Amino acid sequence: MIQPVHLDYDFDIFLNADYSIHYGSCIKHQIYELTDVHEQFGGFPKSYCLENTLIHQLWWTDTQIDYQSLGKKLNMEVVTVSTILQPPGCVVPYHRDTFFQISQRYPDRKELKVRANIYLENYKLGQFIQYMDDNTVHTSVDWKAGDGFLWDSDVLHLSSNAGMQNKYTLQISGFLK
Amino acid sequence: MIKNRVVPIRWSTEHRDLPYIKDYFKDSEQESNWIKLGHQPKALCVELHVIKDVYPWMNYVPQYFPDLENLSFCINRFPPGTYFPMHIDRYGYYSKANDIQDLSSIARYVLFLEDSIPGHILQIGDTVYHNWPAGLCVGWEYSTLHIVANLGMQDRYTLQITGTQK
Repeated sequence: MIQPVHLDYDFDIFLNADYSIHYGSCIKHQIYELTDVHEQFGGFPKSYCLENTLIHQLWWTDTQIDYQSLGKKLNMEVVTVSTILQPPGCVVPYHRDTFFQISQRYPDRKELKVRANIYLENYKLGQFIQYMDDNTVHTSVDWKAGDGFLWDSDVLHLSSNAGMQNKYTLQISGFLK
Repeated sequence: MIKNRVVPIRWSTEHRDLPYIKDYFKDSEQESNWIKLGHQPKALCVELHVIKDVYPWMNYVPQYFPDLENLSFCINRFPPGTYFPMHIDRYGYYSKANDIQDLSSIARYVLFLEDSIPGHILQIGDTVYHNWPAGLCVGWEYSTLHIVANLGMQDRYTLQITGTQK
């Protein structure tokens, strides 16, 4: 499932945070966990490396962020909240979300696991998110701060910043109500 | 005037078997600015196969460009993760080779040689192209800003056609 969403929220706390405290490659787990996705393209491309898949990710606890309020706005039970700074020149290659943390914490819960991907700033040239819906590729551009998508683990997508400024997104994961 | 068109691809995968040479953006000042912003030098590249004489298997292609003269062909291969951010082409080699003084007469087209996959993107001005079928050919006038990107999982092949408008 996929649905467009808009989150009305004050994003200053996310945008003013210090992202330099974390960096890592988004493909660290993808290359082992999503081999079925990569096989259809003949394997994971060797040209992706740390430098072009870098993200700065911060995790936010429910003492820092009001999970209840976010969940109410998005019609979901919030389990994790993170924000990502994607620098210019970086790609999160084609993948689907695996909800690793939620599955570990709640292995017996059967409700649909979903993630809201919210843009924290207005669109800037060169920034793209692509996703599959109805077997067709869609490209998201021209977004406003607060726009985004709610999707489950079926939706293949990629995120890239071929632009000139950092791209900030908010990921709210949990169970659909 | 730019007119997007369809040029049927009547060959198989011959373009994949050609020798390619890695090339970087021709404007080093622009490239330096990109790198200062965080772009990685090794991502800012393309692999080129310059065509001196049109191959027999593609010799029908020029007839689809009756509105252009001084035609020049080059096949571009962008490996996954490579791209050129928003830029204007410089046409340095083309204008010199064809003795073109007035760059405003130049038009450039890209003919997509294969169906796109997720992550294959071309943005010309405000228009984002994705989901293209092999054979779609889109273009721009000389000073149009554009982004070429392969954010996907397989190589992205295009035939680049440059000419002057009649």
